[in-house]
Amino acid sequence: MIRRMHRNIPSFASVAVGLITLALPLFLSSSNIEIYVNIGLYTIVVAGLSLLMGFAGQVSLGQAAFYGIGAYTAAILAVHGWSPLVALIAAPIATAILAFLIGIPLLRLKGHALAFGTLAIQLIFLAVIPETGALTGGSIGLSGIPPLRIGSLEISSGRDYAYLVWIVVVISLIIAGNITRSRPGRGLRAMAASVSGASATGVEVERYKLKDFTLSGAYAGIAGGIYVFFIGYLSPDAFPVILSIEFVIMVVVGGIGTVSGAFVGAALITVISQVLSTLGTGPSLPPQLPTVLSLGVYALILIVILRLVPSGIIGALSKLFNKVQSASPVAPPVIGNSVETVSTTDNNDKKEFTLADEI
Amino acid sequence: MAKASEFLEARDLTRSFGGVLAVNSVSFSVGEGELRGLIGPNGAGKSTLFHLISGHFYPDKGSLSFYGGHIEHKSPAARAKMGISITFQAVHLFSGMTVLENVMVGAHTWTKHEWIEASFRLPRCRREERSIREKAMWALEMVGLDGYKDYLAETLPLGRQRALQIARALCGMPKLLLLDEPASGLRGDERRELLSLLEKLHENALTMILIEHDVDFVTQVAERITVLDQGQVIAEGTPDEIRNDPLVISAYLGTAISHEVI
Repeated sequence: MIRRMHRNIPSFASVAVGLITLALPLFLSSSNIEIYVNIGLYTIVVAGLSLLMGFAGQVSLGQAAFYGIGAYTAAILAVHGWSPLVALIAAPIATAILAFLIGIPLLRLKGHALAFGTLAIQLIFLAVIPETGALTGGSIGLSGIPPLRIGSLEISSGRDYAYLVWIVVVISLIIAGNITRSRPGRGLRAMAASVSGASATGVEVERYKLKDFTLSGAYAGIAGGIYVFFIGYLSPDAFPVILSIEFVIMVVVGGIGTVSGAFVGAALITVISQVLSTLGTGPSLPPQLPTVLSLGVYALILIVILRLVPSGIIGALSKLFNKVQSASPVAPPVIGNSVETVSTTDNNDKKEFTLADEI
Repeated sequence: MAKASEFLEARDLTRSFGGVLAVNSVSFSVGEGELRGLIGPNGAGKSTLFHLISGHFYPDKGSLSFYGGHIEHKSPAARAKMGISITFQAVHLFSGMTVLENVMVGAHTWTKHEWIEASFRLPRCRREERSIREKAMWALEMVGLDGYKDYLAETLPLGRQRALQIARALCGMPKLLLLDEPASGLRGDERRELLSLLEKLHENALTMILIEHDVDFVTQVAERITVLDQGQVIAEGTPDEIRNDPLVISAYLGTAISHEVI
C-alpha cells in the first residue's frame, strides 16, 4: 500500500501543479501575468528543444530564431487580413517547414559545428529582419496586430492569454510524452545512446534527426505565434541571441530529455532573469548591466548543474525518488555521469540491477 | 528454402583502412537456415566482414547479395529492415532505457507508425505498440530475461547484456543474425545458456553467422565453418574438416602463411 502511494507521488504532484497553474492567473498582477505567460511560452519552446537535445543529441543555438519566425508568420498574416486564428495555426506549420528545409543541409554537421550552424540561423534571422522592412516592419517593428479571436471569443486580457498558453503547454507536453513513449521516441532515445546500435535495429538516424529538428521548430513556432498576439507588437529586439542561450540553459537546468523538466527549467530561468533585470536596472547603473549579470549567472548555473546534477533538476529528483522507493540500504551503482546520458524520468518503474538481483 | 547462393552471397568483398587490407577479396555464401561459424586469429577481418554485411562499413569493391538482390550500398537501417541483424562484440545497449524498452527498439524493422500517429496515439500507433510489447516480451522470454524487463539496461551484468542484445535483434524478426563474439567474457554457466539459446534458434530455422574466438564453442553448434586469416578466406568446411586443415592449424599456431599458398 505504502509502495503504491509512493508510486502515485508523481501523479499527485502533477495534479497539484495543475491546480496551482489554473489558480495563479486569478491572483497575479498584470506585470506578473506577463512573466507567467512567458514561462508558459518558454516551456513550449524548451519542450521542443529538449526533445532535440535529449533525444537526437543535438544542441540548437538558434531556437529564438524559430520562435521569431513563428511570431513574424502569425503577425504578417494577421496584419494582411488573415483570420488571427488561422495566422496562429500557420505559425508552427511555416516554422516547421522552414526548419525542415534548413535542417536538410544543416544536420550534416555534427556536435559543435552543428551548434554554430544553428547560431548562424539566429544571426541570419536578425540580419534579415531589418532588411525586409516592407514586410516585417524592419528594425522599427510591426504594429497594428489584431487581437486573437477563437470563434466569437476574443482573447484580450493577460489572464485570457495565461489560460490559452497553458492549454497549449499541456497539449505540447502530452504530444512530447506520447512521442517519447512510442516507436519514434524509442528510436530517438536509442539514437542518442548509440548511433550504430540504433541504425542496426532499423532506426533511420538521419531522417529521425531531421524530423526531430522540424518538430522542435514547430514547438518554437506556436509559442512565437501566441507571443505576438499577446504583446500586440513585434520587433527583432524580442529575439536576441541571449534568448537562444537561455533556452539551452532551461533545457539543461530542467533535465535534458525530460518532458516535465521543460517547465521547471523555463520557470526557474525566467524568474532568475527577471530578478537580475530588476537588480541590474537603476538610474546610476549602466544599461548593459542586466545582460552582463545574466550572462555571468547563466555561466555559473551551467557549471553548477553540469558538475553536480548533470541530469538536471527533474533527473536528480527522479533518481532520488527511485532510491526512496526501492528503499535499498546499499546505494545501487549510478550509471551515466555525463549530459549525454538520456534520462527518461517520466518512467518511474525502472530499476537498477544490483548484486542482490543475481541471487 | 533459398539455396546458399540465393540467400547471402559475398563476392570479392574488399575493404581497406589506410593501406591495411582488412578484408581482401572475400567470397562466400550462406544458405537459409544455416548456422555458420566464422573464425580466425585476431585481426583476421572477421568483425570488418560483419560490418560489411550489416552496412556499418561499405566495401571498397566487391558485391553482396541477399535473397538475390544487391545490398552492398544500402544503409544499416535499410538492411535491418530487410532482415539482417547484428549483435556487436562491444555491447551497444541503449543506456537510460529499460531492458524492455531496449528490446522494443528492435521492432523498428517491422513496424511503421510515425511521428504524427505517435503524437496523437492514433489507432495504428496503439495497435502496433501492443504487438511491439508482446514481441519484445517473447524475445525476452527466449533469452531468459523476462524477469528483468524493468531494469535499466546498462546496470545488467555483461552476460545478461549480451543476451539482451540478442533479444533486441530477435524482436526485429531477423532472417539473418550476425553474432559477433557473443560468448566473450561469459562465465561457464552463461556460455551453456548461450549455447542452448543458439541451438533453439537454429531449430527455429533462423540463419546465423557466429564469430567466435573459442573454436570449441563454434564447433559445438556450427554446421560449417569459414576461416579467415589476414582478410582472406583460408578454409571452409565442416568442423572436422576445419580442425584437420593444415592452413588453419598453421594460422592458429601463428606461423606466417604465404599468400601464394592460398
